[in-house]
Amino acid sequence: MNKQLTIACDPKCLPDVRKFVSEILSKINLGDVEAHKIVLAVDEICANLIIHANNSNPSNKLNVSVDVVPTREIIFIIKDKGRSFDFSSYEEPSLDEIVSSRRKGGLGLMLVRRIMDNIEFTTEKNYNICRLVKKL
Amino acid sequence: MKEAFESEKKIMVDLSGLKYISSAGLGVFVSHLEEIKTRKIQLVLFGLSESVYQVFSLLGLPELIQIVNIKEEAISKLS
Repeated sequence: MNKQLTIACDPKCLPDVRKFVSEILSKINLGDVEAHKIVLAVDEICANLIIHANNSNPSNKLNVSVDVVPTREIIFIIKDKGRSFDFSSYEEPSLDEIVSSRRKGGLGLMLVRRIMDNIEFTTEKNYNICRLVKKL
Repeated sequence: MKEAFESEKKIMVDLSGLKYISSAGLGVFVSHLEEIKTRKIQLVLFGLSESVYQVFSLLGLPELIQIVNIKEEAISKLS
């Protein structure tokens, strides 16, 4: 099963992403807690891409594609044309560092890394592609 | 929230109406943890749904923030 959603790079569109992913997950036999975490991970990636890679510019588009391989895995592919993100040079801050610096940011990718089984960021033909895999 | 963290010593937060929390929401609490420690503020959260609690747990926040089930427990923690 493959489903796709294209939205404007506007944070106001994030509820559409959450609804889209929730509806797909409701058709799979996942518990509410697990489904909630997966929705959160996709939401966090889309929020980062919209805000940081695309400066919340609604003329830019972001595409979310979901492939469900029953009983095996769910693959999310999120594409945009904003600034690319070098995940290989990303070093996760410790929670202690975030707490002592009193900052609000830095938690999104930490959550995604704890929820998803695999995360890849690549660039192909002017598109930034984020691939998230959750094993079932 | 900001005002409460600046002026109060005992704070309880009812999260029973919260169906979803993202990193931005968690950040509100995390960004005040240092202040909570230095100002010796007692903070207790209550009424979290299982899904919301699990998001706090992903980052190990229940070890840093007191989280209880119901308001009465929160009151007794603060008394």
